[in-house]
Amino acid sequence: MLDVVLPFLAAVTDPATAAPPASNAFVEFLKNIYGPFGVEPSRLLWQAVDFAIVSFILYRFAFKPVLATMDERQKKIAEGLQYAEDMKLKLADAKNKHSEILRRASEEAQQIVSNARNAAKGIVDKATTSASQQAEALVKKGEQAVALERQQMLAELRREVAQLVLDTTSRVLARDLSGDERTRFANTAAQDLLKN
Amino acid sequence: MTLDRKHKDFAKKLVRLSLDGEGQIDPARVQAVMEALRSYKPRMQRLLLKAYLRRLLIEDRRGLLLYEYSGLIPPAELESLRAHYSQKYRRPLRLELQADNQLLAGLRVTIGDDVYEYSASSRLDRLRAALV
Repeated sequence: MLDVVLPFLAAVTDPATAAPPASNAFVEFLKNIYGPFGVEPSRLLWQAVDFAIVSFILYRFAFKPVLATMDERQKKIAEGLQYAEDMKLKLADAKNKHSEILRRASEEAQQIVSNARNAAKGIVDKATTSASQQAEALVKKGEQAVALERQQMLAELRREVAQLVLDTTSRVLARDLSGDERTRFANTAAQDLLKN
Repeated sequence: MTLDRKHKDFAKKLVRLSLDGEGQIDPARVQAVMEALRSYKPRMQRLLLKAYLRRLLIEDRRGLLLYEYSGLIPPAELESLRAHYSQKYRRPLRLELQADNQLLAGLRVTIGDDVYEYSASSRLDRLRAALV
């Protein structure tokens, strides 16, 4: 293929050194191929130059800004994705921290509730014990008061009985002792006094 | 105005002057002391007389054997008692009798501030104190 195309290009670029009839055959060959498509070799170079210019202009003023914009968008998207990824990691980390804080708070709350229950139980036990002791003390005090009252009643009764007996005895002695009995008692008393 | 120590001692000496040889109060001596006290000024005379009489009463009580009884004993027993206590107190005691039916039976002898009692009522009182 190259050995056909290269002489053709040389002939086109330099008409002075154009090839002899062999070139014509090649031209004819091209005409046969590209003719139905409307391609003419004499205009092909200029069409290539036009294409290059148009391509350059399009690349310089259309494709390049568009590509730059696309690159920038792609970069922003990538940054956005990275940011989203970072945010996802931070969110996961925050969730973990939140879960840890919740777990600690729950443990502390359980500890506080447990302490409060223990304290309440201690207070209730203490109050119960104190009430029981007070009740026992009251019962004991009551029993002591009853016993004391009983003793006082018995003592009072004994005093009254003794008083009654002694008063009766005194009255009986004063009424029934005869003169001889009194004299005999007085003699005995005098003898005792003399002995002492 | 009250008597000082010196005048109280003086009243005590006056009481001693009022006693006879047996330690009994002699009315004649008392009369003489009273006459002697008249020489003092009225205020001092009254104070000395008061102190003298108080001590004289005490001395009189010291020489008295008060015999309270319920059931009289024979005179010989009474004399024996008087002699017994005269010897015990080392001074002659005069006997004074006084019936007291509150004793129920027995006797009570009082000499000065000392009391000797042997009676049914005192026994009942001791019993009352023990029981009540």
